[in-house]
Amino acid sequence: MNSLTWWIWSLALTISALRTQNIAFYILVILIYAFVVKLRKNQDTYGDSFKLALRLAAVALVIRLIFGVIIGTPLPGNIWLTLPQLHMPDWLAGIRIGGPIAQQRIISVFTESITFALILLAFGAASSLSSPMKLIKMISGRIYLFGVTLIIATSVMPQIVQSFRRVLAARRMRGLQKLSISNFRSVITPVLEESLERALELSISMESRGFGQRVKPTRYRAEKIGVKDLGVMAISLYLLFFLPILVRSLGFLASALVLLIFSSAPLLLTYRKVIIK
Amino acid sequence: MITFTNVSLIYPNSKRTIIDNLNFEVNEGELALVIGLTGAGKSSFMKLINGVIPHHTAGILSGEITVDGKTTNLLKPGELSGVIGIVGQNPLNGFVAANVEDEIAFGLESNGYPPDVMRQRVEEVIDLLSLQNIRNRNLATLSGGEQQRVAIASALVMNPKVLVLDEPTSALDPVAAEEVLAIVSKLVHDLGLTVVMAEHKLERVIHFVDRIVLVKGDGQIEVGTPQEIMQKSDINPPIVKIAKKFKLAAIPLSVRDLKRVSKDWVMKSPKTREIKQSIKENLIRSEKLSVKYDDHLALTNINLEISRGEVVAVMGRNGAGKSTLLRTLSGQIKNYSGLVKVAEHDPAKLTGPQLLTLLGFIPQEPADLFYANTVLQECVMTDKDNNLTPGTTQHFLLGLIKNIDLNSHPRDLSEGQKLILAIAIVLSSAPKILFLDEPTRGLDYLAKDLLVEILRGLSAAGTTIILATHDVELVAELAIRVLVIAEGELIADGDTVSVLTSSPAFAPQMAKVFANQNWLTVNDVISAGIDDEN
Repeated sequence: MNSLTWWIWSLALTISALRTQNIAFYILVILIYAFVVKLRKNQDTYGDSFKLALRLAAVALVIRLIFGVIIGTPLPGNIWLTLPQLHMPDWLAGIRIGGPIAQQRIISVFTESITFALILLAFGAASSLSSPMKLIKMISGRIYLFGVTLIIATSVMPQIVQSFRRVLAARRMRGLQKLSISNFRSVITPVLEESLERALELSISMESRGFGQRVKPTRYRAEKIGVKDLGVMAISLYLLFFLPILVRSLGFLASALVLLIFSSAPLLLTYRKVIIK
Repeated sequence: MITFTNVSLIYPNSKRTIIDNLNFEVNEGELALVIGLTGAGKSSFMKLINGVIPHHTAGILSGEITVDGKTTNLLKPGELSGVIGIVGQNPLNGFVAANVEDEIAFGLESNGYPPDVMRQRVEEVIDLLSLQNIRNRNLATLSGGEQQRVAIASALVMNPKVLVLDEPTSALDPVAAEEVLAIVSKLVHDLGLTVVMAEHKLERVIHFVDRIVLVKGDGQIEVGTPQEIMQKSDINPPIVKIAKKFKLAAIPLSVRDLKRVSKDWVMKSPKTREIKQSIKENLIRSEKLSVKYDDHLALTNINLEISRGEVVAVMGRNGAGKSTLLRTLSGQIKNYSGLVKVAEHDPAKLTGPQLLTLLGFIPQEPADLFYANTVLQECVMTDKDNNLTPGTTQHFLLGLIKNIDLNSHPRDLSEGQKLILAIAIVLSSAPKILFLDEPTRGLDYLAKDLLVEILRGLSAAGTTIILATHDVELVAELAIRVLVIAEGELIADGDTVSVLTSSPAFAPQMAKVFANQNWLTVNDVISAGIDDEN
C-alpha cells in the first residue's frame, strides 16, 4: 500500500477518536494501532518507531498522572483519598501540593495524558507502517535543498543514536561513569563531529550521483495510488467525519464495532498468505 | 581518459603543497592503483578526479584535469555523474534509499531518465553484480560485501567512463574484500572500464593492476608499472619484501609468481616458528557464554580460558560475533547468559579504578574516546579523570610515538596517530588486559609496523592482549593464539601457526608460498636462512 495511505489512515483514526471525546475510543484506537503494526510493520530502521512511541507515551502518562494528582488547583468532586497538604506561602495561594484527591481530578488528568499518548502513537504507528523516508521522497523531489536537508536529516538520525551508544560505551571503558551537565560535552562532541562528517559524505554521494540535476526527477517504481489506497483513504475519511455522529445515533457498542471493522480495512485489503516454514 | 596537466593543489591555511605540478594520464581501460602513506594526499588525489575538490572542499587548484574530455573544475560533480562513478570507504554512509533497487535507481531518477530506461539499466547492473538474490532487501541488513557491491552498482548504473574507488575494502572481512575486488577486476577486464582505486592492502590487488600511482607526501607523485614502483617504494606487500631481500631479478607480484621462483630454494636451517609458552595464570574464563540480541543469538556457548600475557586474535566474518565477544569479556554487554570471570570478577559489574586497572578497550573508532580540543588537553584530561600524576599520559604517548603534534586537534590526526593516542589514553592507567577492536582499519604499513612494535612491547611486559581483526598479516606477526568465530560459535581455537595454515581464507602470503613450512611472516622466512645461491 502507498505510504501516503498509511499516514492518512493513521492520522484519520486518531482525529476521529478525538472527535468523539470518548476515552474508550481513544484506547480502542491505540489497540488497533498496536494490532496493525504488529502484523504489517516495515522491516527497516523505522519499523520499531511504534515501540519507541509506546515507551515514550507510557513514561509521559505516568509522569503526568503523578504531577496531576499531587500538584494543581483543587477541583470539587468525590474525594477518594486525602494526602497531607503542604502549606504554601500567600503569594502562591492558587497552588496546592498534596491534599484531597477527587475522582473527577484523576479522570481529567488521565484523559489529558491518554490524549497526548494517542497523538504520539498515531505518528509512531504511521512511521512503523511506512517509513517517513518514503513520505519525504514523495513530497520533496521538487525542492532541491529542502530534499537534501530532509534526506540527510532522516538518514543521519538513526546513525546519531548509534554513535551516541558507542561513545557512551567507550566513555565507560575510559572510566567515566556519570553523565552530567558539566561533562555532557565529552559525549556530544564526538557524536556531533561524526554526524557532521557523515552528513558531508552523504551529500557528496548524492551530488556525485546527479541529485538536483533535474528540477523534477523521474521515479523508478513510483508509488502508485491504487484502488485499494483510494478505498482505505475513503474509509479513513468517512470515520473522520462521521464517527461522532455514529456514536450519537447508534450508541457506543455498535459504533465501536463499525470503527473496528472499518479500521481493519488495510489489513483485509493487503491480505497476505501466511507461509509456514 | 583522465589527464592531469600542470596540476597543483594546496589547502588554505596550510604550508604544505599536497600536489606539485603533476602531469600524467590514465588510459582508457586501465586499472590504476593509488598508494601512499596516510596523510600523503591520496584522498585529495582521488577527490580531484571527480571534482569534489574544489567544488565541495576548500582547496586551491591550478592546472587542468580532464576526464573523458570534460574539465572537472568547470563542471560540478553532479554534472559529471554520467562520466565518473565514485565508491567510498563505508558504503552505508553514502546510501540514500532504504532498499537495494531504489538505491541503484537513485542516480537515474535524479538525472530524469524515463521509467522504462531505468528499469532496463537497473536490471543490467543487478545481473552484472549478481544482486538478484538481494534486490529487495533493506540496505542496513546486508553484509559489508553486499553493501559495497550495491554501492558499485549504483555508480555503474549511470554508465560512467571511469570508476573511482577510495579504499573499497577497508571495512570488509577478507572474504568480502575478495568478492569486491573480484568484481573490480571483472569490470576492468570484461567491460574495459577505467578504474582508479586506492587500497592499503597491496597484497590483495597488486597482481591485477596495470599502473601504480605513488603519492609520496612531498607533493611529488610517481607513476609506473607495479614492478617499477615496488622497486622504488618502501610500501611493499610480503612477497615483494622477500623478493627484495633475496635480490630477485624480477619482482613477483602474486603468490604464484613467487612460488615458481622459490621452488628450488634450499633452506640452511629449516626450523619452524617457535611457539612462545605463555605463563599459565588464568585471567579470563568463560563457560557456556551466550549473548542474545533481540531474536538472534550473537554468541552461543563459548567456553574459553585465556592466560596472562597471551596475545589472542579473534577472527571471523563481519557480523560473526567478534565484537560481541570482546565487548562481553570487557564488561560492556551486561545481558549475557553463562559465566564470565575476569580475574575472578564479573566484568559487567566492575567500575571505577578496579575497571581501569583491569580492562582497557580500544573501540573500532578510536575517536569515540576523544573530546578535548588538542592532543595535549586530551592527555591532561585523562590524568585528571583517572587521578594520575599530571603528565603521565603525555609521557606515555611520547614513549609510543615521537612525531605527534601535541597542539593539533585529535580529529585531524591520521588514523594511525588516532589509534596510538587512544592506546596511550587507555594504557595510562595500566590495565592488565587490553582489547582492540579492528585496530588496523585504515592504517598504512608504517603505522601497522608501529602498532605491532607497541603491542609486542606490552605483551613482553605481561599485558594480555585480545584483538578482533581481519588482518591476517597482523595476526601472523603478533598473535600466539587464534580464535575463529562463525555465526556466534567458536569453531577454532589454537596456536597461530596451526589455525592460519589450515585455512586458505586465513593463510598469510608466506604460508601460501611456502606451503609445507610453518612460516607465516617475512621474518620467519628470513630467519630460516634460505640459501638461494643456486
